[in-house]
Amino acid sequence: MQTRYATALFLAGLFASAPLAAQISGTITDDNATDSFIVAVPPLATPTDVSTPAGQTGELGRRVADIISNDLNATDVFTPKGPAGLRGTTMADVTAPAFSEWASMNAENLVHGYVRNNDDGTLTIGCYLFDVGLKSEMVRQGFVVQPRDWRRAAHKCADAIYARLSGESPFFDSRIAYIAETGPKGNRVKRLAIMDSDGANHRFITNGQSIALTPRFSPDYKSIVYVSYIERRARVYVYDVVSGRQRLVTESPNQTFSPRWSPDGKTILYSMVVGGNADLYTVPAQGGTPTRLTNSPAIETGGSYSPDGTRIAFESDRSGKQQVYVMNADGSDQQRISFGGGSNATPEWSPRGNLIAFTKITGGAFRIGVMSPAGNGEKLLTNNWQDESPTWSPNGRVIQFFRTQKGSGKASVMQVDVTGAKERRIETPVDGSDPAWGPILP
Amino acid sequence: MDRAERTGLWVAVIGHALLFGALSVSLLSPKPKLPPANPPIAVDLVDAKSLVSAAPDAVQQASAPPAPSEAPAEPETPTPPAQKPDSRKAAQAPSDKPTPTTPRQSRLGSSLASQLSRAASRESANPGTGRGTAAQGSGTPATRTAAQLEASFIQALFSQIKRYWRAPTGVDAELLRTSLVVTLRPDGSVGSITIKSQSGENENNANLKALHAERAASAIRRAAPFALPPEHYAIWQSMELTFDKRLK
Repeated sequence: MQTRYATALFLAGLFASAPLAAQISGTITDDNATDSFIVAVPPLATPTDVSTPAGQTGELGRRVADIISNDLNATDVFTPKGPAGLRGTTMADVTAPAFSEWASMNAENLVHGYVRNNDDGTLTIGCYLFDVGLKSEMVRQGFVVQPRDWRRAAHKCADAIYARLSGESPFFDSRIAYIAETGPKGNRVKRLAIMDSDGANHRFITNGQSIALTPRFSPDYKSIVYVSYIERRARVYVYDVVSGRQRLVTESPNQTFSPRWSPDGKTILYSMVVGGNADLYTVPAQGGTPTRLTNSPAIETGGSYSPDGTRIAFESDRSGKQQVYVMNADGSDQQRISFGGGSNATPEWSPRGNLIAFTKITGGAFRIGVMSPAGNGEKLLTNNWQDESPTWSPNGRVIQFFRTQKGSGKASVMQVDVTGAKERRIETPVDGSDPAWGPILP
Repeated sequence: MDRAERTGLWVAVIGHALLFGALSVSLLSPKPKLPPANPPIAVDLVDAKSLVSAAPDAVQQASAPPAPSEAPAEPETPTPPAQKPDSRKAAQAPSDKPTPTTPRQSRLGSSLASQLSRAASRESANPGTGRGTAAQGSGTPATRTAAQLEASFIQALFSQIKRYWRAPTGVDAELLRTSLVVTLRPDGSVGSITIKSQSGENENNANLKALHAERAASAIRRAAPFALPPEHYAIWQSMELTFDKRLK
């Protein structure tokens, strides 16, 4: 640790914008290994503790604080404290926090808020973020929701706080589709399931009679594309979340797999095997005639659109083993971008467009990595026996993937910050694989 | 050349020879050495030591710093060189201060430095709520040069700000640098903070640029007010500070 500085005498008037000439100059370096703000999240207040379909407003205040605290804890930016162990708050606290009290527990930021029952049966959930040291308000937001949506309001509070303190876009108010796995290693039952970004509101979609794989939410969350595998045949289905009905992505006897939505939700990209050769195709999401994008004797699969929809990353073994390529959305200008050694597969373009996540297979291990769309700056984020199939948080800051244990073959959904920090397991009711993070909820 | 000229010339030659001889002798003779006009001070090293041991947690749990009101009661006369300032410092320095100011104290040892760091300790023991604590009276020992004094209080100032400086994280976030021009009021409080320049931006970290500047400014505001020698206000009334990040 060291603060470098130099004293320098500058001539008066050197800085026209500054009222005075800077006499001292120097560099102050942050060399902390981690960046973690202590954020106090005491239970939210309520004007009057009344009963609602979602429970007592007083109790909801504590549960909302719980969600905010859990959400913040999942990032590498915060060390939330509370609501457990912290005192309750009053409406008076909400606008005039007892800063010295929170400063004494070393909190740098403070979350306050309230849960109010409205006459029309809705709930107003207000949340405030304060800078304890500077005694200033940083965020003030309120959400009016139906009582059943109180968790979403809590996630939105957490998002507002996270975005203000991290500089990143929100991502908590989103959902995840994944494959829930049960049964013995040789005969796994794999069902499509969905849940909120924090694991709540978990729901199984398919019954397990066929093997479900590689789901992806449509941008409007109304549909999910996924692969259903029956009798050694893979077929891509489009499942309607509202009606519960599903249809084949294309009426064809060929095997189809590895589906992805275009960012506007109008097109589905997938792989199809024709005459023993797998290539990438697109088809209108509402059905229609497929368009072939690649035309090589090798296996092309794992397509993923850039967020502006103009480019596609995919994997191909045309060089002898799996590597990542990019091309224009019409299939032109195909270029290999992965040269970092080993095999590289399952590319996934970041929603921010700046990075492509992928699975690197080298030395018998599967690891999650990121690189630029030009193939530069490869960085591996995990180091385990078998980590694969990355998916991005809506803000492009966090990556989920799944980890398979050596021996038992048990799979679990994992999460890691794009900097490689804060790797953690996502709790699922049963084993989980193939996570797919949807966008911010509409 | 007449006689008078020749005589004059000889007188001049002999005179110069004598002068040369005298000068040579006096130059060779031992003579007390003058101290270097500007003795080097290992500011970086001292600061580094001080901050290396900075352990905010351990420090914070350490108990109550001495009551600020008691500090001025102590004699502020320059500490005799023989007296080790360490014990007194150790007793005084509230552990909140990025550690053992001891190494720094023992090097600088001046009364002003003690006052500065004590004031800074007092400050940091109660960040954000402390009042301006510009050191009272310079008590500058004659042996301290202006540069040394400057170095000591600037060092304290920089350390104080560094405690609050946390750069944003993210891909390539460590490439960002923000330079701020800060003006201070005579009481050590912050007058204005303006962004002079930012660098290191690329596609990955562009979204963190504004936050980088905001956190840098916030570090200064949280660390303020600063206990600085009022008689040197001309030096510290305006500063250009660059904030960056080094990955471990």
